[in-house]
Amino acid sequence: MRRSRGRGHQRSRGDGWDGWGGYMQAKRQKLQEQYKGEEVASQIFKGVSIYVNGYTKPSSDELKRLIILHGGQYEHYLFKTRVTHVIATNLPDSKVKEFQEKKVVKPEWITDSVNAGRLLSYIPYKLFTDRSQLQQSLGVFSISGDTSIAYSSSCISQESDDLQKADHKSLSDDKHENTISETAFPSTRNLTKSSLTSVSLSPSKSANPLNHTMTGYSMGRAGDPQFLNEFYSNSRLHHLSTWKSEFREYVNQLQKKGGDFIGRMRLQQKVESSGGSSEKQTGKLKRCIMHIDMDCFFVSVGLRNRPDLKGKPVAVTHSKGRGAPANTPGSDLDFEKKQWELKQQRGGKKGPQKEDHLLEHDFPDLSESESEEEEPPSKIVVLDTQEKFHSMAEIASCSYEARQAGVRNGMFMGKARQLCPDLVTIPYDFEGYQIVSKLLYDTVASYTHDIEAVSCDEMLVDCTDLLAATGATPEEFASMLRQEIYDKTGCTASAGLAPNILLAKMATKKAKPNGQFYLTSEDVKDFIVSQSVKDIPGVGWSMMRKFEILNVVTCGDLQKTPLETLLKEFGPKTGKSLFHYCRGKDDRQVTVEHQRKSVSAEVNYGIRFHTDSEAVKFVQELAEEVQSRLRNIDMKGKTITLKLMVRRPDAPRETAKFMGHGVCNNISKSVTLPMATDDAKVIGKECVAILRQQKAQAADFRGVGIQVHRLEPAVLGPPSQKGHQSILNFAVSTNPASVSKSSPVKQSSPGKFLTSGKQPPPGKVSSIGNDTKQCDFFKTSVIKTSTLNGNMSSPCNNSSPGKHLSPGKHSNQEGLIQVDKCTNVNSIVSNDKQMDTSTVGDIQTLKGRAVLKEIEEEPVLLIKNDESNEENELSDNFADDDSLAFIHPSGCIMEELARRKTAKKIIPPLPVLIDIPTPETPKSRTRNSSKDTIQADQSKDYFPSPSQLDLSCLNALPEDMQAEIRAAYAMQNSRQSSGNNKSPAKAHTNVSPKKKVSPSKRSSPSKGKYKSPTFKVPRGRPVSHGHIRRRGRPKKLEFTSTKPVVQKGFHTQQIEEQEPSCSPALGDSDKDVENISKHVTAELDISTSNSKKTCRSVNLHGAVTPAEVKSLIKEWLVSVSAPEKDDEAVMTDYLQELVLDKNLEQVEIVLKCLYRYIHVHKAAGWFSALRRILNHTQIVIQSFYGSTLKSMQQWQLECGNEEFPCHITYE
Amino acid sequence: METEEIDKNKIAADIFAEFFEVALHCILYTRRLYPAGVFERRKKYNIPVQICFHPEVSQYVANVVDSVKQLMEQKEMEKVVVVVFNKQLQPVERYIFEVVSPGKKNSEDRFLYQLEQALRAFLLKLNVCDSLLSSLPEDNTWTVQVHTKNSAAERLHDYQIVQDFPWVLADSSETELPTPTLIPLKAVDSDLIKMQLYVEESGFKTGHS
Repeated sequence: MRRSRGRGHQRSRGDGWDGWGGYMQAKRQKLQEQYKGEEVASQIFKGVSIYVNGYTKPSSDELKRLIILHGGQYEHYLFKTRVTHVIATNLPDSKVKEFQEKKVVKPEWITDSVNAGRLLSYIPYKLFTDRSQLQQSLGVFSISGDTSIAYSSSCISQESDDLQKADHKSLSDDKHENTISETAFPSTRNLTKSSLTSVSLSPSKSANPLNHTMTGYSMGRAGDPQFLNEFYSNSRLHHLSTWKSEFREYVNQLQKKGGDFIGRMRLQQKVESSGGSSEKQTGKLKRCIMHIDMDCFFVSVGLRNRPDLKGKPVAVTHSKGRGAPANTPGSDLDFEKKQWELKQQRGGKKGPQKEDHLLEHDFPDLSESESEEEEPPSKIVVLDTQEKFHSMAEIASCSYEARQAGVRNGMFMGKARQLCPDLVTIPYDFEGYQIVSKLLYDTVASYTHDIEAVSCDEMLVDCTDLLAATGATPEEFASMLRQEIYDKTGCTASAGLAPNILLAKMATKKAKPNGQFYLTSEDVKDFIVSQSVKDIPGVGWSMMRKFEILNVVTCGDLQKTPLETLLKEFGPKTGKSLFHYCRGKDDRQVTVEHQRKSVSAEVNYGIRFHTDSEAVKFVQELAEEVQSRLRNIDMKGKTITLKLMVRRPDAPRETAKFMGHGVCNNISKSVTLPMATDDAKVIGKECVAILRQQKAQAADFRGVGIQVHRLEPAVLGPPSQKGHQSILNFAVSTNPASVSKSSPVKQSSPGKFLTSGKQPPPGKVSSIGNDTKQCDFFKTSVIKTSTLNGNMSSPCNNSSPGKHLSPGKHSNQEGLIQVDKCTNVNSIVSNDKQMDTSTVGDIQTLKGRAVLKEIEEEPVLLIKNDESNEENELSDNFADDDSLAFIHPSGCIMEELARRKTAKKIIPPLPVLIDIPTPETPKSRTRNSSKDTIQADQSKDYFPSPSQLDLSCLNALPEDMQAEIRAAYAMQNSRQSSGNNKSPAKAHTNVSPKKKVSPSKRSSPSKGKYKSPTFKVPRGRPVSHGHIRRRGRPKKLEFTSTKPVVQKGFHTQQIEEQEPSCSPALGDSDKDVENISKHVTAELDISTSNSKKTCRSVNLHGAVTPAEVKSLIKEWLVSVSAPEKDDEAVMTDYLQELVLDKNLEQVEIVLKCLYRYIHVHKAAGWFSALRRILNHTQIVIQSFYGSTLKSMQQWQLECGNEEFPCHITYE
Repeated sequence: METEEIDKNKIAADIFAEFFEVALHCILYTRRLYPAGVFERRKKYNIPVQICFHPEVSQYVANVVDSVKQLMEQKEMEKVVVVVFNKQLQPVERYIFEVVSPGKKNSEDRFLYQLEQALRAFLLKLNVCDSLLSSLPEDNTWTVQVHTKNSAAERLHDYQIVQDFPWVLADSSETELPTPTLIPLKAVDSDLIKMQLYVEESGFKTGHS
């Protein structure tokens, strides 16, 4: 009957063709009725619904016949909610997983039950009772010969022997229950032991958390070094929130352990002695769920040691309810109260009462505590703030005596004391809770293992099976169990028994305190009608409001509401379940096995960061906590969520509750990783990256949490051992040489260097980056490529990049990314790995930042290595220098080159980079080739050579920073001079000792006059990377223009070797500039003829995208009053090329831009130039396309009408 | 290597055909060659586009696109031109999709995000081309011309690339505009496709000659 409920209304036609799903419905119905003709022999299997999987003996047909004959149901399809038992003799691994939450039973259970004439307990017939955690994969099981290997890695070796033996035994005759439990035992013994220790709470510290609150200000603040440790050993919240999962875990272990049910045997004895109620039971068994709930758990546990308080109103809380301490400075109690009231009003007075304690919420705060006060909120305000409403500590649990006085769980202490002046408060007793709930679980587990842990003091027990086995009545069992619990723990429990979970929970409410209530299915109807809708699970204040509108108070009222209304009001899913719930129907199963869905660590208390770095560090610590939790359960997660509570802008800085979080906005952001991880570093990195994206100030953070979900088992790792080895660790242990090398990798972890970075005051920053508004985005990146030579074994060499860099200083302006590459001949592989991990991580963070930058559209950068330059030099070195080959096997160098390329590939899209090529004098080049090591070449890479430093930018920095940078360079220079070939890392040979900065530049501070230094245009970024650049660098042409700080990478000119006279230091005069122009124009011609070969994009001095070209044109226009002929020619050539390149769009854009700028500037010399350019371009277009640009025709006319007569000068 | 090239060709043809179909509808809509009532709003490249649902029109467009795709796969196509004629059957507007072999190699656009964005830009530009062009007279008609290589043209004589959809050689009076002007709309250069779209517009659209 249950089964037809869902779609009963579809049966109207019955031919199976009346609409969607009708066919299946009809099919199932027919299958169901197949055996209806046969009379039902007995009701043994009433309430049992089986699904047969795969080959069984007897066959599924036979089983079907049997089960239907004896009152059960046979399902052809596996409906999760309907099927109570899965019958199988053999299951593949995938199905084992699929059926994890089902009762998988051997077919003998059916036949034996039929023979016995009553429903036997399925426990002995379970297919997988013997599965211990270690045996989870069938692979291990089937290759029994290998088991020792599998186990020796994972569990204690002496036991592995037992296991192995047992395994063989079980393989040889796997049918016998005895062997099976034997098999399971040794392994699980070990397991439970170990996991129990992890379950147990650290009692030493938690014992007296009260002190901490009372001593108040001694409590730590997040950001303090030991905060997290302290927090987790003290926070009650932490304990509470972990209990549920711990107990679920514990129940799982108990289930796997198997073993005999002492309690069950006793119950059986009792039943037998009391005289054969068992016959009464046979063949008439109904599903029976028991819900056990300890009565005001915290209080009754606390009272074990204080029997004198029994019968008095007692509450468990942190606070002693003494006089209030002086208000925390900066806090605003009134504000929070108001917020709280607001919340309450919104919530309505009938908000759901949280049972006993607020398990799910760490530090149940203002927003969570929807207590049900009877008085209007305004009354609270009337109270004397200092005396009455002083304590924001909540009552975690209060005795029934106190409840009579109106005190409720979750109520603030001050308020409670008002209602009940003689309320006695007792402190938390975590140790006691732990002991008692363990006893509770053990007690229940001695009867059955069909337990679903709800929390530390609450559980659901499916006792159908137990009752069937013992023949006891539900009442008998419940009273016996409750008595036993009381005897063992000294605390009382209430029990509700009912045919389903919903009713069981409702029954428990009725049973409380210290009672039991058995709701038979006959009584359900009457019972449910009187229940308040509030008690239906899932009904919160928002639903209550809707109910109010619908005028529904009890389930009885709800029953009268038609399904359609419910569906309309609450949506299809909720509406439907409400419809069923209010009729006392609930087909949820007791989920015996439980899988963790997520692991998280969250701290909302005591978060008061002073700096960003503290926040970052804290997040990393939190990540470590998550890591250890993940490893405890052997899981890895794919999705990482960072949850932040940020002080609402209008909320006061200090909260009324000491170190609480006050009124907050909650932010949560997730990332999904390509691979599941349990590594604190990875988690930390991701979270830091998310953190960085938040605009909020670290000082406003009030809560931080990391959650890892989409868990999957950590397959490869040995289960739950402390010394987890990552691949990296392996590399270290096998190759001691690489240990020292891994240290620079660690240094490069972004968290650390970010930590070391101080935020410069925004005002100062903005002076540097002309329009930069946000100091956050001012962090720029320098790609550093430090290459370590394999021959170097002294660790000081390895750490040299760090020394040179003194990252703390630099990160004021730059995010440093080190791509450490080690050309260690011996350990290329491991080095590769290191590099990968570090680069990947860094790049991820970089990406995050890059995105930000794009949003701000304020790419500002000071310094960047010119990679191509580097490559150039490297290849120079390589070619010039034979001695290299002796030091490095050539393969290594190639690899090095290749790596550089890959590193570069990653770099270009970063919008933050600006090319500043090193002006290399011939002198430095000779020097360079005279020294012959790669290190010499690359050491310069991790510290930009002085010449690469844009002085104007430097000048714009705050003075102390300048001093630091100069000092760093001075140090570098002195090191260089002392360096020799034997310590190659120190020899910065190709950096010229003096600062080679053009005088013109030197004289141009940010606001200085524009003298007329030469500028080079950015090279085209999309240019293919594949080829080695020619030395000549053909594409760089100078416009005579100035402007010291240019947003997008205009920079000093690279002087060619061949033309030393053109050095920018000298080339201040226009003649020189013209020389250069000519020279480069010539080169340009060459390069354009090459361009087809090299697939270069058409560019204007390297500018490819419209934006680049535009800014270039702007520069050009601003710098001179009339264009040079050569420059004009370059422009026309460029336009012509664009036409040839079939990019008319850009032609138009460029011309438009020219036109507009020229009209803005109204410089006489330009109009004629513009006209010439327009004419020329039109002619070109005309010749290719047979027509001319429409927009230009108009401009040409305009230009002709200007003061300059129109002469077509193009020939 | 060889197969890779062919593959790329195919992919490019695919992408272009997909785009061209939408672009064609887009032209029909923005230039009001059919009443707005026969168009419905759909989404392509994440922007709303208007697609004609008149069966014969959409069938014709589909056939054109099919042929274009095949020609492009064989690398025989240079341009596709959508020509708008006035009442006197004089061409007044030509929308030229010029496709050349791609110039960029190995760019970073692995998932074609940039290309997709570019195509979106094309469509957006087409949507606003109304404002760049002078308005059309009443009672127009339109056709599609494909500029192919000679070899393809000859083959087209021999068989139909799309069943029952014969292509005929265009007359020069249909391909040439009197006093044309040119309005560039958009250009893209990517790994797979390099193309530009521009419009040729005749000086006198009403055509009383």
